[in-house]
Amino acid sequence: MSFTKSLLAASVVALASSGTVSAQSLSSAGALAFDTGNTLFVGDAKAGLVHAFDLTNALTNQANYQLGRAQTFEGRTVFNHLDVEIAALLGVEAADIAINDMVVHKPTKQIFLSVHRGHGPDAEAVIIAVNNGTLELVDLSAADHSSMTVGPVPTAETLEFGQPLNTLAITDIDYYNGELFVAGVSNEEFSSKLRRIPFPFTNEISTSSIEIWHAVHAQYETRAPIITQTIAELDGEPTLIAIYACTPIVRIPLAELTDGAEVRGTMIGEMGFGNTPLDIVPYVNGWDGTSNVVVTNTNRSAASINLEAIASADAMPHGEGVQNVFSVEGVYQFPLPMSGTLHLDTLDDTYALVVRHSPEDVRNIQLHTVPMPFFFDRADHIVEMNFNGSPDPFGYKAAPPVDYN
Amino acid sequence: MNALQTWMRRALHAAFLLLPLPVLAEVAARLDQATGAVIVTGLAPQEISAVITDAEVLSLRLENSPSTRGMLVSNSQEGEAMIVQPRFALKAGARYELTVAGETLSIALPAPETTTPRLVSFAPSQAVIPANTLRLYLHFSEPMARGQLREMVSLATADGTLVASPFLSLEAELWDPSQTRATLLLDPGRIKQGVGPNVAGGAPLQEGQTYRLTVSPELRSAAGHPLAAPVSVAFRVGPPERRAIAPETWEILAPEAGSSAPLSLAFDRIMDSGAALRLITLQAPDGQPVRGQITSDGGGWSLIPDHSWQAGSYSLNVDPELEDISGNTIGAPFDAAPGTIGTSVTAASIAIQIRKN
Repeated sequence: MSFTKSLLAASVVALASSGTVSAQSLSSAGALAFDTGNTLFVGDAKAGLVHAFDLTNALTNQANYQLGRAQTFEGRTVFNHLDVEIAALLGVEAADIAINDMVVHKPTKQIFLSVHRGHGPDAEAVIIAVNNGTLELVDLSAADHSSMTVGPVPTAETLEFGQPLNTLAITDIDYYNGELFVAGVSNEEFSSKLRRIPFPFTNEISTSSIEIWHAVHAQYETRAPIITQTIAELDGEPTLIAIYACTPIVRIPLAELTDGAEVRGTMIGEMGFGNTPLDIVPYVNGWDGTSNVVVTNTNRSAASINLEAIASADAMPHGEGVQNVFSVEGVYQFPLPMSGTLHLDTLDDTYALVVRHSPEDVRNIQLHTVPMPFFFDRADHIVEMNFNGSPDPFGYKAAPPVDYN
Repeated sequence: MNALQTWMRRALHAAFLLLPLPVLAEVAARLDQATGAVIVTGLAPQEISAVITDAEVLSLRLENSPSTRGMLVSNSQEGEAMIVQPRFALKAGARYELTVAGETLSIALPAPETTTPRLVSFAPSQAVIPANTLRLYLHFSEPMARGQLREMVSLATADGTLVASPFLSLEAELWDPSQTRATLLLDPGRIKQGVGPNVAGGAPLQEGQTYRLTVSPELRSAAGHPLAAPVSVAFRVGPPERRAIAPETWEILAPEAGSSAPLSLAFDRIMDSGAALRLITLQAPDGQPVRGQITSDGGGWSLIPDHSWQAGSYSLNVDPELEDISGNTIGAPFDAAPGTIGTSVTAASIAIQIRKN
C-alpha cells in the first residue's frame, strides 16, 4: 500500500489565490490571544493562518459584572453546562461542538471563546463572546481583518503536488510588544520551530529552531514542540518561558530568537513526565506583589512559578554523566488546588477564569471565576470552614450570601 | 348533549366562520431546503409583527435539548408567511421545535446519506518497523470527526495486553486538511534513549515483539457514521533506527532516456511516507521541476514522468526537513548526542544521469 499524489498543474492556480482569507471565512478557530489594544488573534490551523480582528466596535465593558467575592474565597459560576449552552445557541447538541480556547480582553474583562460547530473538515468556526453573563456570536465580518501565513507555506514546487497533507496545529499564540509568537505541532515533522511575527503584519516571519536540554533525557535533543508559552521580563530582559511536550520549562531571551537561528534554551525546571501542559498564564500575586506564572496540566494539578525564581534559576545540569530526572525538579513549583481545568486566563488582578470540569460533576463544563492568588474557590473543596457548626474564624460563613447581578 | 350545549356549539361555530381566514388556518412550519429557512404559515399578521419586534417571543431549538436557549435566527415577513432564517444550517437527521404564538411546531430533517468509513491504509506499511518509530498514519476513506482518537485507537501486544499510553497526548489531534489522514505520535518521551518514561515504562514498542493497533468500530466519520467493525493492523518490531538520514546511501534506479519508466529510489530505512512525497523533488536538466506521478510507501520513492525522460543530468533535491519514521533527519538523528547543537542542515542534492541506451 502506498500514498499517491498526482501532479496537477491546475491546482497551482487554485492554491496560489488562497493566500488571504476573508473575515467571513474563518476556516478553523483554535488558539486565541489579544494584543494590548482591541485586536483578537485567532489561530486557524486549517488555513495555516493567524487572523487579526479589530474588535473595537464589538467590545462591551464588563466592569459591572460581579466576578465573585475574593475576601471569602468565592468564585462565580458564569455558566454551568457551557458546552450545552453554546451548542443550543448554534442549534446542535453539546457533543457536536468543541470549545478550543478562551481569552479575556483585559481592558473590558470581556471573555471570548473559539468554538467549532461540528468535528469534520467542514466544521464551522465561530468566536463566542460573553456579555454580562449572556452568550453572543461575534460578527467577525464587521471587524477589520488581516492575516498571516504560519502553516506549511506551499511553494511553487509543492503546489504542483496538489493539496498538501501537512498541517501545523497551532498550540499557542502570544503577543508581546508589537510581535506575535506562534507555537505549533506539525503532523509530518517533529520540530521545535518558533515563529516570530511583527504585528501589524508585514509579511515578515522569522523562524527559530530551539534546542533544549531535557532533564528527563540523558542527552540533548534538537526537536520537541512547544505546547504553551508566555513572554515576561526577567531582570529587565524580555524572555520567552516555554513548556515543551515532554514537560521541561525553558527560558530563552527574545533577543536570541532571530530568523534561522538555532538557539539553546536554558532548561530550568521539569514538570514531570506522563503529563501534558495546557496553559501558562502570567499573574501578579496581589498579596505580596510578586510576579508569577501559573501552569495548568492534563494529569497534574496546576502549579505557580515565581518569575524571579525563573530569572535566577540555574540551568539544570546536562551533558554526559548526568542522571535522568523523572519527577518535578528544578525551579520551585508551588502546587495550586486547581485540576480539571480545560482553559485558563486571568480576568483582572483578583480573579482568574477557567473553563473546567465541575469538581462535583465532571460532566458539567463550567465557565467559572477563581479568586487569586491561590486559585482557590472555597466551595470546591472539603474544608472545615464550610461545615455546619464548625468554627468560622475568618467570618466566611457569617458573610451574607453573594447577591449576583 | 343538552340544549344549552348544542346552542353554544352552534354559536361558536358561527363565530369561527366570521373570523378572518388566517386565524382559522392551522399554524404550520416547513423547512425550505433551498434556503435552509423555516417558513411559518398560518400566523396572524399581529403575531408576525410581534415576532419581528421582539425576536425573544420565538424560539427554534433542538427537540429535547437540555437548554431552554433558542438558536440564533433572524425573522422576516414574506407575504402572509414568516421566514425564520437560522444563522447556522439545521443539522441533517435532527428534529427541531419552533415555539411561536403559543404553538410548538416540529421540524424533522431527513437523515443524511452517509457512507460507512473504512481504514484504507496504514503507514508505515512495512511488516517490520523500528522500535523507535515516532509517527504512524491512519488513512480513512471518508473525512473523520475530530476528538475521538485518544479513546478509539489502542495498541496491544501479541497476547492482547494493552500498551499503556503509547501515544503523545496532545490537545490538538493531528489531521490533514481533509481529515482523512490522522497522525499518531508515539510518545517521544518513551522513544528517546535514557528518558524517564522510556526507562520507567519502557519504550512502547519492544524489539522482537508483534503488536496490533486496533481502531474501535465506534470511530465515527465527520458525517456521524461509525466504522461498523473494528479494524486492526499488525506489525512486528525490529531494531531501532538511530542514524541520521544519508541520501547518498539510497539506491537509485535510473530509467533510460526516451522512456517514461519510473525513476525509483530505494531507501536504507523506512522514510515518513507523507514527508517523502512532499520533500523529495526532481529537477530536469533544464532546471524545471519534473512533473508526474509520485509514489512512496516509505521504503522507496518513484516518479513516473508525464513526459518521457531526456538525456542529461537530473537533480534529486531532498529538503532538510525530511524525516524517517523515527524522526531522524539528514542532519541529525532524533536522539542527538550531547554538544551537537548547530547541526545546521542544507538541502541535499543528488545528481542522476539519464542516458540513452
